[in-house]
Amino acid sequence: MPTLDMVLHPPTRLQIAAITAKVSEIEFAKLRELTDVADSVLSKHLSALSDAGYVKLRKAARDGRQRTWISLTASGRNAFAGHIAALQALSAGLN
Amino acid sequence: MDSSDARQALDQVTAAQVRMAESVADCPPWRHALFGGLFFALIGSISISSAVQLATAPFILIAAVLIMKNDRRRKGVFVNGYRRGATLPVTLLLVLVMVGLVYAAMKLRYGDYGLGAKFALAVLAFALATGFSVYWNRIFRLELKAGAR
Repeated sequence: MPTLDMVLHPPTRLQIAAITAKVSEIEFAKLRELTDVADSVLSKHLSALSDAGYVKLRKAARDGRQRTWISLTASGRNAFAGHIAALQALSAGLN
Repeated sequence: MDSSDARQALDQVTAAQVRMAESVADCPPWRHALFGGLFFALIGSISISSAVQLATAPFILIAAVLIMKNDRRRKGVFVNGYRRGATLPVTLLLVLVMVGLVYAAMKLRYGDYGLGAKFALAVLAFALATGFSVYWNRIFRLELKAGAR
């Protein structure tokens, strides 16, 4: 039986995982736009996901500015899939 | 967490992916045509001669990299065509079709065929690649909009 992942439990982190699971890489500004949270809030959640090994952050220069690109790691993908399976089981009343 | 909380969390996942479908997966017609153009150049050059193929290859590669960079700049995302998901069968089918077109191009190169036949094959490659690009994008959008429920 899949179990809930407490790292992915906060709604913003779950949204970050849901978005990054569907792309190879996403820029910080685009992720902020899609999650509709402040820079500082997004940074805090990304740090937590990075510390858990669920996302990888990559700095790249563009137009003379540093941009951060975010990708979900294999471990993050597995954790997200497990978390979704647990949510679906709970939602269906299987737990 | 109870079943109602779980449903709410799944709805949040779906909502995030639907927002992404509307923001990121909206691909303009010229972008599909550019993808088709790469295959027009590739198949056309292969069908003409090895010298033309070798001379054209660096430009095709550079064009592919520029398209990718432009995608990143415009959309703020990069999506690998070989990603796992509903789009993978479409990608694999495109690869298979293109292998067939490369084979046909080689036949035209070494056979007694005029430029008209080679141009027609390149146009066919353009049409197929553009069509695949449109279809791939449609499947990607459908996958995103399906969400997690």
